[in-house]
Amino acid sequence: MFINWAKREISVKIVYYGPGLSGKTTNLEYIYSKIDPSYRGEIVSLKTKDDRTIFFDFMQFELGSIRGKKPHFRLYTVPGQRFYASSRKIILSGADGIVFVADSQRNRLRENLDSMLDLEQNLIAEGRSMADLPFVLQYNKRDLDQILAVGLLQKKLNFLNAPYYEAVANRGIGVVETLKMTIQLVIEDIERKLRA
Amino acid sequence: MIPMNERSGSQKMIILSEEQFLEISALITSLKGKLNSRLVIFGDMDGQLIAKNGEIPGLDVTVFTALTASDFSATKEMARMVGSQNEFKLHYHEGSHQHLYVAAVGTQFFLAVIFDPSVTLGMVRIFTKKTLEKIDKILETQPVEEAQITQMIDSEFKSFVKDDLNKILG
Ligand SMILES: Nc1nc2c(ncn2[C@@H]2O[C@H](COP(=O)(O)OP(=O)(O)O)[C@@H](O)[C@H]2O)c(=O)[nH]1
Ligand SMILES: [Mg+2]
Repeated sequence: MFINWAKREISVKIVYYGPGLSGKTTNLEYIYSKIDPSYRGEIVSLKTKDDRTIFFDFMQFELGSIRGKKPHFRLYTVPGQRFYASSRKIILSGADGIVFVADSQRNRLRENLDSMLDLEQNLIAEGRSMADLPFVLQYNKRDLDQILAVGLLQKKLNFLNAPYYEAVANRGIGVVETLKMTIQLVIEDIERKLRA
Repeated sequence: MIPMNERSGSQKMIILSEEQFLEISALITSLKGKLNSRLVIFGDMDGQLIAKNGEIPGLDVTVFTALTASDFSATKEMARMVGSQNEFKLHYHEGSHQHLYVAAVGTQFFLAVIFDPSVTLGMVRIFTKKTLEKIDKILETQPVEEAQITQMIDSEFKSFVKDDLNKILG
């Protein structure tokens, strides 16, 4: 988190984490499409030829002045593939909140778990942990046939009892709800830390 | 040296006071003038744009800052992987019309200068170095009073953010 007192600007970083192809980029693209250009900047996607995220996607938006204070949000996605481990570490650094986009498909459970473990390891390397960070789970691809029941995903993935949402990101279902909840948790977290 | 608030465990909370911001902005403006540069950016290694002077048509400065920060961190990581003991401190790209020079300020910030090939790299190095030493000093000074910071987020803030989010996201 960054506070520029001169501008009364408070800027937070939210990172979309999860295995490759779970729908992280799709989340960002939907948010980008929903926000009026006067409130947001460009979206950048560093992609390979076949459309896979290579480093990160990024977009930022701000709200109007709230009693003189200007909240500003920076959203990042990480590349999911195993070999981009260093990229994930770099993007994760300084994150104020995390959205974990899980792929609900039956055959992707292993990848979800691996990615969750990778996330926790990267946080620990920074002296942090999932447990003390605003964290929201999104069970994406609920439109597909071969998916696991939410109850089971909850048991397997949500051991921290984090808020969770079902989503169909390519149709925008659950995307905005996920983001709003994450922002709410981040603000509560900052509030707590400033008071402490 | 970094105005970092450590109360929150290891989470980074960087707070820049009004004086710090104004002084840094003035230094950036002066650097831009000396190097006849088109754009000077002061940013945070986590991708946050802090201060800038200048403009390049069609260039989104916040995106540019996010990219520069990650690029810098990635190169640092590469240096670490090949066993370099020295902290990676600068970055230079030569374009056909514009050159880009990026230098670290401590471990948490960087300064990026976009300049014309008519300006020598030596000049850029010297003036940038002087500027970042001064910025380093400014960052050592006392940040904002605690009481002020607490005011930043009052009880109403959260509900206002909620309303505004509903407005812009539907
Ligand atoms: N059926 C279905 N496809 C989705 C959904 N969300 C994303 N996709 C598709 O899954 C693929 C991978 O999505 P992407 O956002 O690139 O994944 P990322 O690797 O996590 O960034 C793309 O073809 C998306 O269109 C969803 O909810 N349902
Ligand atoms: Mg992606």
